[in-house]
Amino acid sequence: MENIKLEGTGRTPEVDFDAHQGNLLIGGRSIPENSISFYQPLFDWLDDYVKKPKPKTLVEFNLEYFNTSSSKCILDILRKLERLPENGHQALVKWYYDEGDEDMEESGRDFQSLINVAFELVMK
Amino acid sequence: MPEETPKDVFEKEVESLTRAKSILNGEDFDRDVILTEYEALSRDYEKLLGDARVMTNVSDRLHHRLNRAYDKINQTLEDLKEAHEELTTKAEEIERKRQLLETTNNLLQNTIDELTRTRISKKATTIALLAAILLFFASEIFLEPLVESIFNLGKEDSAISFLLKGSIALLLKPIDYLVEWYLMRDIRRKTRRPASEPPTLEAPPGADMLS
Repeated sequence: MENIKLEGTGRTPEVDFDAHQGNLLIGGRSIPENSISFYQPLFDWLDDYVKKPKPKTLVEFNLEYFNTSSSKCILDILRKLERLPENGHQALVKWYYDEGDEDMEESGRDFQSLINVAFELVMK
Repeated sequence: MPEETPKDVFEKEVESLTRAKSILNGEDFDRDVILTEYEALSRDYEKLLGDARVMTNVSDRLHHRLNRAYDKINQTLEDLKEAHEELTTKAEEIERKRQLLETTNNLLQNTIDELTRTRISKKATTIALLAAILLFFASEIFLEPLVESIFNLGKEDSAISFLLKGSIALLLKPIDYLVEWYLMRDIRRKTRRPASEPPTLEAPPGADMLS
């Protein structure tokens, strides 16, 4: 299974999905014009990954800003990750936010309340 | 056949709704099937409700964030406008001061020129007087006896003597002008004014003839 490594741009986030290490990272800005076009390859990758995951998977969200449609895509990613603990694998989501950035912290709490995966809010 | 890319982020929810509608429109109303589908629809609805809640909150926060950014931009624009007005006022004040300084500088330069001219004039007068005295003595001691001996003139014939002394007296003013002009020229060379600036000290009238 191939890794995904994408450089961040002014509109799309940096992506580093490492299937060999079990480390997944999404960071930066996520305001693509067509969110589903950007996130669909990541969904497909995750569908494959959850079939044969590493025993421990670390998912890090280090986002600066994201639009509403990206929030739906983030939810879909988190929902796919719910399948890991369901199948007896460990998964940990780390949601990073800047000190004083209450918006990003609150968004993390919203996501945390909705999914059944270990979820940590980490102040940078 | 490759899987078709969904058109929007709610593709799955649309599928769920389409499926529910197709069952409603169908003729098979088996209780177990209906129950299973209803359960799936409820589950999907619950997910969608959760998504809608989160997205609404995210959207509200984004809106507030944009409002804050907008307010900040407006405030920055106001600050910039104030700074621009302040700079314009200061620039006008600087221009006024520059003009005042230029006027004062011109006045000062004119005064300096006048002072220099006066000083040089005094110096030239002194030099001219010294030259006249020297000429007078030269005339009395050497020139007059020489002329008298050449033309065999007696002591009582004072016309030549008068002519010589008169010439010396007449030469006083031209010598004064000439000395002043040369001294001024030296001063001008030392100060080295820009070429664009018109010279304030001119050669005295008749200086060319005298040189």
